[in-house]
Amino acid sequence: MRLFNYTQSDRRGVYAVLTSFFFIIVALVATIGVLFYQNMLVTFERSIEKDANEYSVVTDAKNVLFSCYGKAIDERKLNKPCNVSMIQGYTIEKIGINQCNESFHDYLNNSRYDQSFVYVVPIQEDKRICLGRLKIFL
Amino acid sequence: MSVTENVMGGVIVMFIFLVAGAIVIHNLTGHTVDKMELTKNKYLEEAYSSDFNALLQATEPTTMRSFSDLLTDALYYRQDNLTFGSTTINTREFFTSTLDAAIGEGRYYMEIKPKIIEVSLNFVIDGSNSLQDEREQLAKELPGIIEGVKKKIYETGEEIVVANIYILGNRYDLKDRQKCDIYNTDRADITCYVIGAEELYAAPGDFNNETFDVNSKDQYKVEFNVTPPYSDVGYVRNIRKAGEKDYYEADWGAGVAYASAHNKGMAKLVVLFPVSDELSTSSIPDACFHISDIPRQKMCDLCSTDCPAERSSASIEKALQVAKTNGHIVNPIYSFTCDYDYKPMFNTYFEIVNGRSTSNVCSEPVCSGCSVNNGVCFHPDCESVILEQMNHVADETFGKVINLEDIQNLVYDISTTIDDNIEEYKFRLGEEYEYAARFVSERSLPLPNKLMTDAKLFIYPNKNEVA
Repeated sequence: MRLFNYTQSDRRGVYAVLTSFFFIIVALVATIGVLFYQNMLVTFERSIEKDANEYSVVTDAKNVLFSCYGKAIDERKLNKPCNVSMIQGYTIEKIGINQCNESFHDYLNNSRYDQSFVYVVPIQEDKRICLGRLKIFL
Repeated sequence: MSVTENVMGGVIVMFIFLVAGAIVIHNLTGHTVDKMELTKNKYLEEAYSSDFNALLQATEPTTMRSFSDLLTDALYYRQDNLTFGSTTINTREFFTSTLDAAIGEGRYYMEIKPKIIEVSLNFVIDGSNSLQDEREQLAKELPGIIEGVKKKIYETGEEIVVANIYILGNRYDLKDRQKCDIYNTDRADITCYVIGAEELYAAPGDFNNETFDVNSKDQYKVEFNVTPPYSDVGYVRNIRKAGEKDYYEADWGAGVAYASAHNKGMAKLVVLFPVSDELSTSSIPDACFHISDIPRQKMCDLCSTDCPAERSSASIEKALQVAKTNGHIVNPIYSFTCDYDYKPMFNTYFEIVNGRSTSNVCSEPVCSGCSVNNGVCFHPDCESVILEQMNHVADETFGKVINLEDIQNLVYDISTTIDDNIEEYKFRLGEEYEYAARFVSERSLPLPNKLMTDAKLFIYPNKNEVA
């Protein structure tokens, strides 16, 4: 008597099960992959929206600052902070070129910020226009 | 078996579905990446544009002039060093230090060039017979030259190119007036004038402030003292004196001053082409104008090797003052080709000089009035002086001397010179990296002559700034 007697039909059944199992695994991996990819895409989209929003916030903040200090920033007004609630803070640095006196005005509320954006801005010193760097922190 | 087939079928359907899904998601990802780049680039473009506005406002400390004013002045006068009163400033140094500090070294390229919508080509041609070939060739080729310049500056189709011909001669003389007939003046863009002593020089009465119209186009003659090379003082009957055609017909210096003054203050690119084979005010030495004995005088005209370089130079310096004040370019055409055929009208001269009057006389070394190639070549000793003075005029006005060795090259030489004039009318700062990612901001600024100019600032972003 043979304890295990495999017929040809039995072997086919085993192959079928194995093949099905293999395909199911492939399908699962693919599904997980697609889901992961999709998730990444959604995160990516959100990041873009966040970036776009950041760009618009920075632009708005710059406009608010110009309305506070003037299109050519009036140095005399720089002693007072401008209320720009949508950002963490800003700094305005007057560059010491073309015989302009260097100066630095720091209105950063706290040292925690994600990103900073820099603009070159005109700063009025007496009757002349000097250049400065406006740094906006988000 | 059937169970296996069902499972397999399901798996295949799911696989197809997943692959399709992956493709769709991949496309969406590409779209999202593009969108992200667009958003970021749009922001950077606006930010850099705002930076450019700030830069243009920066004040130069000694002259208190703005960056934009100095930029247009430097372009207009095409000089790095500009003088305001007693102060001279190096504009290039000011621009470079400002841009380096504000944008960062090596991160920008600035280019400024005029927006040329109108070009005025002005040919001031020696009216003597030796330039007849050049006048005829120019008349034939002028429409082609105009079309060539139009193509070069084409942008909107509204560009205008005009040509003015100023023939140095006596406008009361019919023969001189007929020199204009060869030009196609029926065309609206070609005009020909005969200008002589009356037009070229200030009359003594012009210096009387009470009667002279200071707003006149001829004000420059008083301002720069454009007077004939000889005065009427010491006039003796039968002795050649001031106002004679011999020198005003060749006074291309005074001709350039006249043409420049008559194109003053117009918002266009003005290019002047004096065409001559003589020194300005002619190559006839000073001494010849004061000889009353005709044979001796003709001998002097043809044979003296004493070039009147100083007289010519005085006329040219006045032309330079006018052209430079108006920001006009002068490209002198040097046509000392000695190709003027022997003409019977010279018989008298040669007979006087040599005692004979045949065409062969030009093949003999009679005096410097003749070439060795059977052609008439007046004052060959002045050749190098003419070229030297023409080069001086061109250097001072950012033009070029056209050495017309072959008259057939006239169109080519003029067209390439105008191309160079237009191309070189630029002011550049920084390094241009042709294939690098960059953001370009553009502003239109007015030049002192009202011509508008395009100032472009290329900013090469930092790596972390580019999406």
